[in-house]
Amino acid sequence: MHIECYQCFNDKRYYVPAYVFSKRLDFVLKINFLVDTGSSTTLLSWNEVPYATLKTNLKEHRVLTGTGGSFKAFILPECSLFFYANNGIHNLAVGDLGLSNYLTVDGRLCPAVPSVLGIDILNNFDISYSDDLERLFLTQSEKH
Amino acid sequence: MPIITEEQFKQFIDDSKWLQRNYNKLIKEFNLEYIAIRNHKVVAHHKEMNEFERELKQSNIAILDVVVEFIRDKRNEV
Repeated sequence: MHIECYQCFNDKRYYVPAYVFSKRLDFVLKINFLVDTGSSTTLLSWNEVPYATLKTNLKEHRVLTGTGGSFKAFILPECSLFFYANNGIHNLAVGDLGLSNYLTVDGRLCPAVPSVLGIDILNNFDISYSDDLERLFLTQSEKH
Repeated sequence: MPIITEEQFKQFIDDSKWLQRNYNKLIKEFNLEYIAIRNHKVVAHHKEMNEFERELKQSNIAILDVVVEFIRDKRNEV
């Protein structure tokens, strides 16, 4: 099973489209995740989540740090990611996911950044690059 | 578990690929705006997320029927 990632012509980085489903909150989001092996944790970015659709008070998660500063994240409980793979829709239960706040801990507005698919989830896959196709693939063997 | 059809997912992939391919053109017209893409067309856009969501609602466009992106030059992001 493999999932294709797509390069953005602006920043040349690779993105993978996925539906995010929170079972407990019963909502679905569509996110183009940045494939980021340099990120320790998968995180949804505030600028990619329409807050009006959440309709709930989210619990606070932990404080995360990026080069723009530190910020609190909220918990999206009991999440699954749905990817489109070569053999159909692939469902991966990932537990709680973080959603970044739009303010840093010292009160400044966080810059708009992509949601990232970090190494905590990427560890479920082998990552390969096709020179011929100029495409990145996330591959999972049958044992998963 | 949500009901996501293959057709919906293919549309999501197709519009996402279109977004990535046309990002530089979109920056020229919609820099620092939220945009919604459906069938390779920008169907809503606004600088403020609240107003953007209101525009979608007024146009009877479900958020799950479009690909949403905050357009910006991403080349300086790390």
